[in-house]
Amino acid sequence: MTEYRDKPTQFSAPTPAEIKARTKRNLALAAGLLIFVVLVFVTMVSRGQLPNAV
Amino acid sequence: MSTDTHIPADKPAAQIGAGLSLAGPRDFFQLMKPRVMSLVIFTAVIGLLVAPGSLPLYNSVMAIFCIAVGAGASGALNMWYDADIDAQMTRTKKRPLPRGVMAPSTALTFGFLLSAVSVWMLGLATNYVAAGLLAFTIFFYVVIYTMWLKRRTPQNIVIGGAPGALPPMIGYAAVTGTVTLDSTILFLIIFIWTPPHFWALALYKLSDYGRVGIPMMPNIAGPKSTKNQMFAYSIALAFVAAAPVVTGLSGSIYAFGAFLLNVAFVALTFKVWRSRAGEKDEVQPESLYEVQKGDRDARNLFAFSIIYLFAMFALIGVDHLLRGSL
Repeated sequence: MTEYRDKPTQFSAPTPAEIKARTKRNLALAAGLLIFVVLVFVTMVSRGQLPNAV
Repeated sequence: MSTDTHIPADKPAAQIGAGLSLAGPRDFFQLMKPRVMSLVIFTAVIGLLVAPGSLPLYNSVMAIFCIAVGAGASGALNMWYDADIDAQMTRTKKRPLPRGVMAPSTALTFGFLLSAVSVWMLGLATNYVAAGLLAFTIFFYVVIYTMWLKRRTPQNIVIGGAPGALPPMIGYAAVTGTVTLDSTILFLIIFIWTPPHFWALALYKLSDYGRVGIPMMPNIAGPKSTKNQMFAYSIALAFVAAAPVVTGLSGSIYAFGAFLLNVAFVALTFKVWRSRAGEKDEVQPESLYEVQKGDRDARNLFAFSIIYLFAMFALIGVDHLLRGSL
C-alpha cells in the first residue's frame, strides 16, 4: 500500500534578519551549554568528586 | 509575533520571512532585568562577605553567578506573565515580549530552564540551604508576587519585596549553611526600603499603573496616604539600619555612614510628604526619570533610594573588611 504524503508545494524562506537572529541564538545556546558543562565539571571537582578517569 | 508561514501569491518569499523569531541574545539578556540583577549581585556579594567562615573563591563566584541567574530567571518568568500589562505601560512597552520579537513560550521556557539550573548548581557549589532559599525566592517572586499579589492588593510590593530582599541572605547562607539574626537584618534593610522606593516611582508614574489596573498604593489609598506610609517606612528603615551596630555585624564606620544616609533618606521622604507628588493624573513621560512639575521630589527620592541601598551595603562590606584588617 502506498504511504500518503502531503508534499508541500509552497516554501517560506527566512529573511536575512531572521537568519542573522537565528545564527546568533544558536551560537549563544552553544556557548551557554558549553559553559554549563564546564561549570558542572569544575564544581564536581571542587567538591572532591573526581571522575574515575581523572 | 506571527507564526503564520503562508505566503500570499503576489509577494516573494524572501520579503515575507518564515516567521522565525527575531530575538537575539541581547533580548534574552534584557528578559533577565539586568538593572535589578546588578543590585541582587551586589547585595549577595556583601552577604557572602560578612558571613562568618569562608568559602573557596571558585565556590563563592559560582554562588554569586547562580544567585544572579536565579534572579534573571524570575525576571524572565515575570515578563512572560506580565506581557499584557507591559505592552500598555510606557516604562515597560519596549521589553522583548511587548515588542513582539519573542514568543511568550520562549520566555517561559527560558525562565524555567534558568531557574532549575541556577538552583541545582547553587546546591552543588555551596549547600542546599542556600539553594532552597534561591528556589523560594524565585517561587515567591513569580507565584506569590507576580501571579497573586501584584494585580490584587496595594500591599503588592510590601509583601512582594521579600524576594528582592533575600539575595544577601542567600549569599550569607552559601557560606554558613544557616539563617541567622545578622542575615535577617540584611534581609530587613532591603525589605523595609522597598515600599518607599517603589511608591516614590508609583507617585510619578501613577497613570501608567492606573491604566493597566495595577493597584499601587497611590491609586488605591491616594497620594496623601501613600506619602504618610512612606514617611513611616523611612523612620522604620532608620531603626533597622541601626541594627547591624547593635548586633556587632558592623562597627563605627558603618554607623557614621548609615547615620548620614538615613538622615538624607528621611529628609527626602519628608520633602515628598510635603510635595504635591502624585496629585495630577496625566499621561506620563516615557523615561524612568522624566517627571512632570510637582513630581520632582518623588523622582529625587526614587533615584536616591537606589544610591542609598548600594551605599548601605557598600558600608557594611567596607566596615567588615577594615575591621578584619585592623
